[in-house]
Amino acid sequence: MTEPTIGREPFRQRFGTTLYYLLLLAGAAVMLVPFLWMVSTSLKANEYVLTMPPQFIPQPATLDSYRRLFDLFPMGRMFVNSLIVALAVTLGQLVTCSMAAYAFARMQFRGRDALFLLYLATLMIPFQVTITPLFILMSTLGWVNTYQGLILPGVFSAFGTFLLRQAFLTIPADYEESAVLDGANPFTIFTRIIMPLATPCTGYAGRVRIHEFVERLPMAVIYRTRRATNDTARRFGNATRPLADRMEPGHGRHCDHRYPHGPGLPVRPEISRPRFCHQRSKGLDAVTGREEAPYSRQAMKSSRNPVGKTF
Amino acid sequence: MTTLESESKPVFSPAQRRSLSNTLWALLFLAPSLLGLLFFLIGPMLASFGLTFLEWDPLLPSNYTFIGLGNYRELIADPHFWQALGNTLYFIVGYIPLVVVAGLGVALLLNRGLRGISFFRGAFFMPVVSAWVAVALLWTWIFNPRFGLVNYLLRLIGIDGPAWLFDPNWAMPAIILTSVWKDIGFVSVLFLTGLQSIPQEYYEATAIDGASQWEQFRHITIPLLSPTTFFVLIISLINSFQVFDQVWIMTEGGPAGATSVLVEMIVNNAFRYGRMGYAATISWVLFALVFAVTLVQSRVQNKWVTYD
Repeated sequence: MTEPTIGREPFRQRFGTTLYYLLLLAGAAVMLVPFLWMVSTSLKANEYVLTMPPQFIPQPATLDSYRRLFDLFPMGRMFVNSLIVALAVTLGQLVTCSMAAYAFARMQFRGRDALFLLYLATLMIPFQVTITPLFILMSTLGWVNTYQGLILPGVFSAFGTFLLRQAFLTIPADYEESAVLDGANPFTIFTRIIMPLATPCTGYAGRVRIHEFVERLPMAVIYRTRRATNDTARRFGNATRPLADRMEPGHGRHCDHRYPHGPGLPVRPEISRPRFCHQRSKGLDAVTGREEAPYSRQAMKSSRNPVGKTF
Repeated sequence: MTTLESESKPVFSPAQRRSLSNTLWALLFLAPSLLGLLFFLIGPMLASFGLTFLEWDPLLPSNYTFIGLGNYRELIADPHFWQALGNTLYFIVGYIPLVVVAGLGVALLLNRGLRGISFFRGAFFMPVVSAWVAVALLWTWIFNPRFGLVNYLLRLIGIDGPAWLFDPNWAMPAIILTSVWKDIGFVSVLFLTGLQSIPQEYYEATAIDGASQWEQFRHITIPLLSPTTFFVLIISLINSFQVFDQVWIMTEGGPAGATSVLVEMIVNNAFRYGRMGYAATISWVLFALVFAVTLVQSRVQNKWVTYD
């Protein structure tokens, strides 16, 4: 049975691989060309932005748009603000969400499913409508225009809880059962088994959070539409104005936002790229205090686990 | 005396005590997240429910009138609401199948251990890490009928492209395409994580039994991926009911209301027309809709989601 395939396999494999590469290249082109075009346009002088056929290599190239951007807006300050908020929110979420997710994934208690539905329900009301009550709450606390005012409401997330719960559900229960037999309490199991096993997923959750909170468009939109009024003007002053606010089209409306010229600074740096995969074996060794059995690397490899290198 | 009684008649049976201790542990784990959510999210949510019975301009905070169910009555008779609801459903019906299928396809491609795969992963993830504002501006321009890249390419192959965002028939498809483009990376990384949690042995074992690739995909990948698919579906539905950023920047609901969606209507009412009560009412109707759909989804999940 294996005889005839031996000769054919390499060709078929090479053909398949080429096909995969072609598909991937096509996909990557669709993803990247718009970005490259944006970069190219950011280097053009205004009068060359709208030419037909489009210029892919700017002639002449200029940094004027960047200069104007940094002249007009305190970019450094805004970037630092975004960074502080994003990092704090992400760290906070990883703690609160993973704990809650563990309870939802692994613990039996009355009203669990109803409570989980309540968590999901918090995702279903548009942010734009709770922001007014939230703003009133923040002014009562005196947190308007402060970092904690931007950070704390973001630290608690049903999305993160849901994402991590799904990940925890795929972790085999055997590890925990053995740990329970060894007398471990839920907290030990959580910190020593679940978290190390789920690091790729928590890493992903962390990155997603960072993106969303650097963005913060909803707040920016509300800020913009309400800026005209005195009582809310102080709300997001320069001190806590996030970067995305500057990219909101309203600011450039006098120069027709449908034809953006100048750099949009579209891509935020990938702040967190955790490569935690190696920690899973370390974490498990830490539980047992030795290299082999019952949570050996071999056992890990042969079992279903959610650990995989994603990014 | 009391001690004797409690000894002879334990307050809790051992099983009850175990479940009590379980509940306590669960509460301990839930406490930080639950308290925070109650304070910062559920509180404001309930407050916004209160607003649905008021006529209230947030710019004149002390000036409000209680109008009972007036907002709800107005909503039912408001043709703009039905149009926005229809457009939102149009968006969902176009967006979700596309993003789920494309996301799964990309995940399957990326799951091959090919050389240079991290470059491709990065490429597909680029739009996810970009701000919606930048992406939407970019695509507004790509879809520009005269100077845009899409119509330029169409012209190269001899097609006279539509006016996209300026054409009531093509504005929503353009927004859907933009959204799919931005979210493919997000969905495919979720699927990729799911794919990598499927043990290789299943594939090896079935390969020995002579299963074809399609059979393996159908009988191993799809069922074992179902927890991820479930998550993707729920989250995409919740998010796409609230589609807003791209609409707000690309069309502001136009042309002729062809892309007017529910959250866009909410924001206009709340912050442009000073009608916070009405905005809250639309939000809660939207909430009821999403909640019903999610409830149905989580009831149906027993039928198709397998947790190993």
